Amino acid sequence: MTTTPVTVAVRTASRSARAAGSATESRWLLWPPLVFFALALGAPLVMLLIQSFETGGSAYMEMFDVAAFPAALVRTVVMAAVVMLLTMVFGAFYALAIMGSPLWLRLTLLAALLLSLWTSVMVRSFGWVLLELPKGALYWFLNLLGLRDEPLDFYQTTIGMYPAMIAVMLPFAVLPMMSALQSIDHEQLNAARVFGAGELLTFRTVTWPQIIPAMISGGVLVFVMSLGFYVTPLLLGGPSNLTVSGVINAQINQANRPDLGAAMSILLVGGTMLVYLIADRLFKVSEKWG
Amino acid sequence: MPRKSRIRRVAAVGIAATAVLTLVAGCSADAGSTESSASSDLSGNIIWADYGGPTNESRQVAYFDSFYDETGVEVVSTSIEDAIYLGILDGDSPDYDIFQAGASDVLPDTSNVLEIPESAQGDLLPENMQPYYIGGFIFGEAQGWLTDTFPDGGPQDWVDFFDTDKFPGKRAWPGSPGSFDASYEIALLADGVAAEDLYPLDIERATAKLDTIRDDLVFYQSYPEAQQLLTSGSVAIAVTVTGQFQALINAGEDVTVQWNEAFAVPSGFVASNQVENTDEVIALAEWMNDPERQAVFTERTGYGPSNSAVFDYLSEDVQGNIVNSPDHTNLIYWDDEWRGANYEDLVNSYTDWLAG
Repeated sequence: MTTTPVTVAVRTASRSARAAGSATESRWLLWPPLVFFALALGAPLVMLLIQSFETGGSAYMEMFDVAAFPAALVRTVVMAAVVMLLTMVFGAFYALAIMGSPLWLRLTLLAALLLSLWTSVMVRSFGWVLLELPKGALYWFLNLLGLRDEPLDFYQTTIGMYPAMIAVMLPFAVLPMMSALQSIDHEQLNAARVFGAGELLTFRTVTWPQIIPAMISGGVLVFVMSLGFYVTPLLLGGPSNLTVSGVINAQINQANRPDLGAAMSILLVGGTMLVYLIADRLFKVSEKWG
Repeated sequence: MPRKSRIRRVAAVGIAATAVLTLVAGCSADAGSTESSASSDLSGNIIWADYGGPTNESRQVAYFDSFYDETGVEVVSTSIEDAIYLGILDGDSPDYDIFQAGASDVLPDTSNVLEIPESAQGDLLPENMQPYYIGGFIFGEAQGWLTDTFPDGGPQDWVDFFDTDKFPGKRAWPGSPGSFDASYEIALLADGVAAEDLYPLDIERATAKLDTIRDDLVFYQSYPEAQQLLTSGSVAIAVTVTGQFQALINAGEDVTVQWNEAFAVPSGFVASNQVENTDEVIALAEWMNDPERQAVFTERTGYGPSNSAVFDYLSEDVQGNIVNSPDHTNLIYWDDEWRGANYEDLVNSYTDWLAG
């Protein structure tokens, strides 16, 4: 009778000792990534901050005097939102198509997606340029079919820009949804069938609710990444779709006003972080990626 | 300008490292060729900063190789950084001995720039550039097209360029914020402003005129894209630096360049008056002003010479596509001083128009 509390105490002690040991271990493991991020992300950010204040902070006011900047800010946010929504919709169809297809088609779709992910954004965007040029590949194809003999008016328009941007961002929306679809318990689907639910009802009550969180976290990622879009809208949307990144580039490389460029960059990075933090609070995005 | 000092300091370290390396390399090279340097009083090397590429290669062939053989002074080329050369023009100690700089960067304040003797001055450069510019050359900004596009002859001037009924098809146009090139000037000429009344530029009037043709423009981000837009048939006419047309001609395309109302843009190199190797720098300046050597450079690049005697060494064929050839009687020159003084406004307003 007297032994029991002792054993319990010992067991608890040893458990907490083990826990403490593993915590120390994991703290050690945290050092390399922390050092890496401090050097690779923290240091440039501090440099940027210093640069932006080299004229005593006036850059933060002056940047709004660059007429193209406020317009680019609005345009970038709208663009990111449109890309996010379209990518979520197309991504959902794509993920469902991958899961529901016969093996050969599933592998083809997956290969196309990963190949696209592994190819440089520059190359993919330039591919779209060759497709969309007034007398590019698309024109050639339509002309071959006898459907068009006037050059296309597609290149360097807003409409011409979105397909390319969706193609670039699609993997980031599809991959989380795929993993959500994969982790659905098949017993739940069977149960739905057993109780007489048809295809559509099963989808609506079992599948859909389980992929929504993944869809949202994919969407947030796409939105955040789209805020920094540079190459794709520049090449395909033309100058009338100038993004914040484009204005920053112009200030640093052409106007020789690195302080304005730095201030604009700080605003963009800060805004992006803010959006992510809010989204994380609302939708627990980081859990989906953790 | 304190805001540039940080970049400059960082860059200076890189330059210093490069300089040490080149010195080491220079010493070992000198050891093997003592007999060539013995014939002159010149020594050391010259740090030369330009934009590299085939143009730098042409300079190496046309000037630097023979200069080294003659004097033992090696010209060491490096890639130019804006922040560094702007600092030198502001009076910083010169990390580059000689560097490329447009007239609008140099002319507004020449108090830190080395004056070169008359024997080294190019007579085809504008008079205000002549005392400072080494290895000057003149590039063009013009409209051009594949000759087949307009069998009955293409646009004759900028008014024609804006006439999309008479000359149908899209036009390739510089589309990055800093490349306002001759954009405003072209629009004003097309709107009836006389060449001598262009400055100060009426930017509002220019952008209003540009708006009338906007839907017919295809914008390019880098100059070589203009070549691709032309050859793919995506545009009928391109407005660009004439080196791009020369590249197409070199590749065997039949291109017509409209030299009437083309812009001739003098450019070249300057040195700081703080350089320690003044003798070597001036010797090189004289070397590069030699018409026979400049003819080699002109033929390779299609860039116009700064010395009128060069034309004696060029064939008729080559002359026809050189910007400032005597046959091209109606060229237009930029007001570099005005453009330099209003540079930031020009970038910002052109960015705004592009994004509009």
